[in-house]
Formats: sequence, C-alpha cells, structure tokens
Amino acid sequence: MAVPSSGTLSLLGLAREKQNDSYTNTTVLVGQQGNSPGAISLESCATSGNNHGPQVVMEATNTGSSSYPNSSTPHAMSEWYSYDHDAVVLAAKSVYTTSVPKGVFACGQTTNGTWYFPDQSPAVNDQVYTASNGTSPPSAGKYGYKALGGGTTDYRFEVNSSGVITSVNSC
Amino acid sequence: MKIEESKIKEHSGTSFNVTKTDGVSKIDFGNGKLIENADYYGKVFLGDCEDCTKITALYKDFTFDKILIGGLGLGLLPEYAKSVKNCSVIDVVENNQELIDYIDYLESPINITKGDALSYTPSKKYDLILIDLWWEEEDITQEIQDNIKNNYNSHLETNGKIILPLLEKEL
Repeated sequence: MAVPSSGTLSLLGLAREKQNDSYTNTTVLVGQQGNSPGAISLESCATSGNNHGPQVVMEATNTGSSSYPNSSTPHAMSEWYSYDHDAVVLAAKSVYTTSVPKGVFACGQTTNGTWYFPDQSPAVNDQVYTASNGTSPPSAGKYGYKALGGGTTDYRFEVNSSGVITSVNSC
Repeated sequence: MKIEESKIKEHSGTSFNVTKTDGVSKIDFGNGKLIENADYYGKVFLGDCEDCTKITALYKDFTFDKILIGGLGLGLLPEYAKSVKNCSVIDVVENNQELIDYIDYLESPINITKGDALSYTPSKKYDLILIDLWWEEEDITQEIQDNIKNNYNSHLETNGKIILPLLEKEL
C-alpha cells in the first residue's frame, strides 16, 4: 500500500513505506548494523543510505513512482503523498490491440493503443498490462507492437490468459 | 483485397460456421481457428505488406503467374492472386468438401480441387506453391516441412518457390 494521497501522514508510515514497501507494513524497521533505529527523521526518509545515523537505513527513493519526495531541503511531509516505493516502472509501447488469428497478421498493422511492458525490449515471460499503473493484463491472443514510436507494427507477440508473453518475434 | 461481403453467406455447418459482425464475415472452424474477411490476409501472405519484413523478403525480385495454394479458407488468397497479382493459373487444394461446396463465389481462373495439400500430386508445374493449413507455428514440424518439400519440389517451375507464410519461410 502506497502512502495515502491526502490527509494526515505519520513519519513512521513514511519510514515503513521506504523500508517495508508499504505505509502500513508494521515489520520492525532496521537501523545501522541491523539494530533497531534509534530515531527516524524526515531527512533520513527522503534520502538514502545510513549517513544520518543512528537512524533508519533507507534505499534510494523510487523515482518511478507517480509521486515521490525530493531530496532537497527543506523536506516536507506533503511531498510524500501517493509515494509508492515498490512501484514498477513500465515501458509504454504502441500496440495493435486487436488479436489476430495467425501471428504474422499482427505485422504491418496500424497501432491503435498503448500497452505497458517491463522494459523497452519485450521478451518471453514478461508481464504485459493495458494500463500504465500495472493493472489490466490483455486477453490471451496474438498482437503486434512498434519497437520505436508509433506507426505500423514491426514486432509480433503472443500472450497467455494471464497477459504473460509466450512468444515474441520481429516481423 | 477482401471478398465482396455481399457474396458471402452466413452458414452453420458441421465443420465450420460463417457469421457476420458489423458487416464483416468471419469463418470459424472452432477452437479459435478463425479467418476474418480482411484486406491484410492476401496482402501479408503474398508479399505486399511493407512492414512485414520477413515475408516480404521472400518475394523480393520474385514474380509469379502460376500459383498452387494449399488450404482454401474464405478464399482470400486465391482472390488476391487473381485480382491483385493477376495470376493466370490459380489452383487450390482443399480437403474439406463442405468448405468447397460453400465457397461458390470464386471465379475463373481459380480452380478448386479436393485433396490433401500435404500429399497432393499436381499435374502441372507452378511458380509459387503456398501452403496455408495451420494457425500455430509450432504445428508445422520439420518433418511436415520436409514432406512438403519432397512432395512439391518436382512441381516447381525454374526459380519457383514453396512458401509457408505462417513460418515466414521458403522451403
């Protein structure tokens, strides 16, 4: 669960989001040398590492989240609204979203939508989404995408009923 | 180039059904094996799709006038060979008698023969022999490819080709 998008925020919740990937995950926070953190500051949450010891040890801020705090002072709790530390950064690609009966027919088709992939080079076992927030996998079928930009498809791929790629080929 | 919709009748048979959705006919052989009356079918399989690099490469500097097609479907390939490629000989081998009886809208020089395209013995030679019997690429085993090549190799004109468009491959 990401940081709430509004309302009152707690510093402990922000630390949990940064270290436990969830604002409400109550797993004990870890400080330097694996000890419990002696203190949590907003600065230690907004930055990474353990250079604010003896405080909580933090990973780098996930700038792939749709909203994230900056590392500049002065820090503000309001910068944390909707921050999602484990948000997945997806790569958008132009896709021909109509399933075709034979894979090669997905080639040379005019793209008509945008789908989201783990990175810029779709591969077998990659999860595909039709929404930018990593939800709504496509239905099983054979589709095509344009490797760079929009226009007509120059790659074809097939996904199973979970939206996972089972084959991908250049056209 | 697709079939004129007014020529295609809806059909409910034992081996396939033909339905129209939004004025577009679709033949359904069951288990997701569908062919839609669409422009791309002949365009892709007979080498006129600019972005279908692999298939189009098979037709580079290759012209054909006499063609044998294995698999009838809705008749999109023979119709394209006739209307767009202006082929003078267009023979089709199809083993489904119900389908042969149903497809009554193809005209000379298209000639349909009942037979198994995997073992059919032609009585003439062709510039292009195109076999389109499958929906899934993995169904076309190396053994099947070898058998097709052995069966048809002696029925090719000089510089003639056997093409399996689903595999984007010349045998």
